[in-house]
Amino acid sequence: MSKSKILIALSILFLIGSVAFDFSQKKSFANSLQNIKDERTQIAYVADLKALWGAKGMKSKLTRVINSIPSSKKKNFLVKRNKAEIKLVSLSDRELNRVLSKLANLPLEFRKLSVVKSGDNFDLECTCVW
Amino acid sequence: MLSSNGKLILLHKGLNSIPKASKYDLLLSPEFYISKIEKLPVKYSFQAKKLAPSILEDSLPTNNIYEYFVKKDANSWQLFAYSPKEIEEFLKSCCKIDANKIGNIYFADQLKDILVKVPVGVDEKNALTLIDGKATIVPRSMLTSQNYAKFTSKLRPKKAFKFHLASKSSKDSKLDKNSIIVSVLLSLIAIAFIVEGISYKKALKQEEEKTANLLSNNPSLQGKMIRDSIKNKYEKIEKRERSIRELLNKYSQLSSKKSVLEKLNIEGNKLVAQFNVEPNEINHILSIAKTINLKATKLGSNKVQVEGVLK
Repeated sequence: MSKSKILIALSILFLIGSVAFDFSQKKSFANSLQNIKDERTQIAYVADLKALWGAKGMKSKLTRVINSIPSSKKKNFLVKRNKAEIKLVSLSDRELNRVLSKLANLPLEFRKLSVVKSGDNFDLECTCVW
Repeated sequence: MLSSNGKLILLHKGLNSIPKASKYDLLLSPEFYISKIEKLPVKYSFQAKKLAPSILEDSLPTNNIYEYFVKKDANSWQLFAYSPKEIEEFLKSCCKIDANKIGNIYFADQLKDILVKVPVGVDEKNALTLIDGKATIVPRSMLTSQNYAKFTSKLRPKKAFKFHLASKSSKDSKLDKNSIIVSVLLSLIAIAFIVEGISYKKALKQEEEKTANLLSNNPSLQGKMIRDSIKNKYEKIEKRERSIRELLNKYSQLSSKKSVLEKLNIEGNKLVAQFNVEPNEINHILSIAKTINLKATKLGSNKVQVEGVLK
C-alpha cells in the first residue's frame, strides 16, 4: 500500500473516530442534560415548597393577625415554638371572615379548626403549626 | 501502445546537453538498462513481468530499485530492467532536466531492425550497433562501416513504455499532494466533529455549574434522598392545606343572609360545615353545593350540612 493510501486511510479512520466521539458526546449530552434539568426542576420545586411551608417569622405574622381583634375577644392565644393555639369569641361575621382569610393566607398547617355560631356572633378555635 | 509526444533523446553516458523541450521521451542506451531474452512458459505479458525480477536479479546490482518491462519477441520474451533513480540522477547532473519532464522510454534493443542494417551514431566517437543480437555502444573506430544512421525522431520505436519516476518530485508525489489535500480536508472535518463533541462537554459543564449554583443557594437540598424526603413532607402539607383553603373559599360562596354558617369543623379528613338556611333557599343552596362539587345533605327543614374531603 502506498504512503498516500495509508495517509488517506488514516485520515478516514480519524474521521470515523471523531464522528463516533461526536456521536457519543451528543448522546451522553442529551441524556445528562435531561437528568440535570430534572434535578434542577426538583431542587427548585423542593426549595419553593420549603420556602413556602417552612417560612420563618410566622409567630410575628400570626400575632399581627390576632392583634387586629379586640383583646376582649381573645380568649386564648398561645404560641409554643412552631405551634399556636387560638381561641377567639364573639366575633362578628365580618371579623370572622377577616381573621379566617388572613389565617388562610399564611402558610400554616391547621391541626384544628372550629367555628361555632353563638347567638349573632361566632367563636373560633384553631390550632395551627408551621 | 502509449502516445509518444515528447522530444526523443538518445540517453547515453556521454550526453552532456539536451535541447530545451517541455517533455522528453528517452531512448535508453544499453548503459542504462539490462535486457535478457528468455523462453518463458507464460502466455501473457503480466505473467512474464512477474517473472522478470527473479530472472534478471543476478545481472542487477542490489543497491537500486528497478522497473521491469517485457516485450514479446517471436517465441520468447525480451525482459528489460532499468533503475529510474539512476536515470533521474544522470539527467539532473548532465542536463539539469527534471524527472517530471520524462514521458515515455524506449530501449536501444528496440532498434534491432535498424541496427542490423546500419549502426546509429551516438556521438562523434561512439555508435550503437548490434553485437551478438544485442544493442551495444562501441567506439566508431571498432566498426568497419563508415555509414551511420543519424539519430532522429524518425527512429522512434513503435512500442513505448511509461517512465516510472523514483524521485520525490515525481508524479507519485503529485498524487501525494492530492492525498495530502484530501487527508487535510478529512482531518479538518474530523477536527470539526471533535470540536463539536468537546462543545457538548462544555455545554454540559455549564449546565452542571447552574445546578451547583442552585444547590449552593440551597445547601440543605444537596442529596436526592433529603430532597425526596422534604418533598414528600411538604407535598402532603401542601395538598391538605390547599384543599382546606379551597373548601373555605367554596363555603364562603354558600354563605349569605339567607344561609348563615352555624358550625365549621375539621373532622378527620373532612371539612364539615353546617348552614342555617331559609326553607325556600335550601334547594338553591343544595344546587350551588352540587355545582361546586360539595357533598350537601339536608338536615331538617332549615339546615344543610356540607362536606368537603381534604386531600
